[in-house]
Amino acid sequence: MTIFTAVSIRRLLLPVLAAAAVALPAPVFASAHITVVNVDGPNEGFNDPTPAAPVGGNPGTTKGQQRLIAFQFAADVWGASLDSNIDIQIQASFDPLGANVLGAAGAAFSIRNFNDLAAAGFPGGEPNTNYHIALADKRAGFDLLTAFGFTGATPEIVAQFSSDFDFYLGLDNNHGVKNDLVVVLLHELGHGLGFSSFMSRTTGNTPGGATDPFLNNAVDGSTNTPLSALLASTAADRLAAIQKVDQIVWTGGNVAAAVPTTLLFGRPELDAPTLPAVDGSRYGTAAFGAPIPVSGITSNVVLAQDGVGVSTDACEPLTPASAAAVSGKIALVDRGTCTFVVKVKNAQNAGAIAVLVADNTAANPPAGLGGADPTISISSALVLQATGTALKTALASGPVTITIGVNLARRAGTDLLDRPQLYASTPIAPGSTLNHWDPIAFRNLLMEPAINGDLTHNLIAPFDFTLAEMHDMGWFTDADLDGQEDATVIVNGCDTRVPNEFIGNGALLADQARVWFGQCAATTSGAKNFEKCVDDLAKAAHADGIISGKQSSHVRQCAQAKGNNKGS
Amino acid sequence: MITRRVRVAMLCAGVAGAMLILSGDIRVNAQESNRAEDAAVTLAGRKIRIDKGSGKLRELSQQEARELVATLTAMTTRTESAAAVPGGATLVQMNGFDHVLVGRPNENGTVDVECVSSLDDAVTFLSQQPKSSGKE
Repeated sequence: MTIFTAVSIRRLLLPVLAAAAVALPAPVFASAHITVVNVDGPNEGFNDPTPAAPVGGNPGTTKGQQRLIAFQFAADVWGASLDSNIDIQIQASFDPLGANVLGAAGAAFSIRNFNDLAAAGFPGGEPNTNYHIALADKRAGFDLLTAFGFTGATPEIVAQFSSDFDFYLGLDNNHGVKNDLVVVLLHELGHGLGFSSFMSRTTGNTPGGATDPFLNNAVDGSTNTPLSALLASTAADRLAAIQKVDQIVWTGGNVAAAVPTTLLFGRPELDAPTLPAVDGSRYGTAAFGAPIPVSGITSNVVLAQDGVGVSTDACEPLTPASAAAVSGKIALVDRGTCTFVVKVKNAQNAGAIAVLVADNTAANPPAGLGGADPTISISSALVLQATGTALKTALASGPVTITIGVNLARRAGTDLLDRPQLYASTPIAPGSTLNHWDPIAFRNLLMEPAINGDLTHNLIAPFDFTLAEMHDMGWFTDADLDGQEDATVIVNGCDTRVPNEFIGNGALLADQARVWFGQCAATTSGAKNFEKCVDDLAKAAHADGIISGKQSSHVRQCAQAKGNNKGS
Repeated sequence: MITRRVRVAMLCAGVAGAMLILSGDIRVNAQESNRAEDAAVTLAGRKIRIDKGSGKLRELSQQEARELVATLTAMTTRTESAAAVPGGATLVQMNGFDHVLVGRPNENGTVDVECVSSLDDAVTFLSQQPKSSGKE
């Protein structure tokens, strides 16, 4: 296996991922029907009549139309991936929220102990477990809200997005510097469909003191204690657990199968064998300058001085003496007062070969260094305040040599047992902590706290494991909607008669087959072309060792059946 | 039988209780107001908006900061109400959002986006862009 640094991989993969994004699972064969209910008034939001040129496969001719088309596209990507015989309604609007707010979506209801309401043959839920309502409906085979006097039109998910934010409204993910609305929606709808715990990250409490499918998959790896088990403990214990950086992991089997192909080796770490307080500590990478090379950057560390105000913040050009000392070395500077790019640029001008920015708060893990400056050519990273303090203490006793590198023996985003890490942080960030993947993950994942520019519209391995998370939480594959998990792969009404197993890329065959079918339906016309498209993809996957010859053959047979249907 | 004196005492106690509740509300409202104002002060002056004319970053005005705080407060204020039906099912209706995406623009036109669930979270994220005055 070729090994790259996590940082360089981010850049190398950009064109690949962008190309892959063009060939996305087209939301044609929806197994769950997700309806976007436009609640905007005349001439606003979805009804904004401002003329707009079609963009990126979005044929709308007004801004409002394009928003609605992109919204439904994202809903359909989810719909094509999940199975439910109960319609999911999203109450949606675009409102003037200002340019710093993109929007939000979330489940309108949670429900527990609903098995008495479930239709015959459907599994229901685990006892005393709070479910997102859309997932509960799927598992009950029944629109549960109607049992509480709500109408069938009551939304399961509520969404509100900003009409002031300049989203990219195309459907092809070719968003450039803009933020792709479809990706943003896939993330937010992921929360609304189940990817979040109902545990308050402020109080540590859950509705009714009950667990939820998310908590049931999360474990405190330091003690191997399921977070659901901590519900028998105190709220303080639960809040303490989710602050254990690098320790809170996901143990669901579907995600575990996707980890090897989705997360790449190369964990950003400092290598300083003589400084135990620094050795192995993670750092946050920069959005500007050169990526950290796979070989790392090894040199002496020098504390920079600019002689103004907080003299170690590098917000001004370094003093001549400091510049001489820093030249050819790794500059250590303190965070604060000015932007990261200003600090790094001043260190670069002094001849530094790399920069470590020491945080000015006790926050853990270190975030990345945001900003942009094309004139910066050196590498930089954010380290913990404690790491900075340890380096300064050591420097008082003599020269310190470190390597800013990557641990090639460990994936970016897994613990020492190769389990994917959820975002644990100190202090708790109520919106981010627990309910996302650790931002150290690479490839970047849809359900990280930050929406990274290289995300695609693809929900399955090797690009992402969002759909695997959903399977772990109870969104089982049920293409025939009989309430029972499919033993074999059924795609577009055709039973391939091969087991629904994990394939070589870490995805379930059923999920992969849907992607192929959707992709070919979107990019071809006519039965023959459709069959050839699926045939080519299945053969290529077989040639790559991703699926067996038998699996390939059976998937292709269903493409023929579909092709016949399509042509009839 | 409740005597007049007792009724007066109960009335006084009720009024006192109401005043306590009221004063509690006033305190809470005052705290919320102060918190919002603090947030607006923290955000005003930061270069977190794109000037539509020049395409460059520009400072958030005080008025814009107040509007942003009001929007974030409204979106992240969560309330829950529960109902149960025979058979034991309990439904919890949730208002407000637990995951709000906020954006912080960069000089090159890209926008860093973060998922937050409280005003404090949002202010922390948006404040990572220092004030152009150089003073925090």
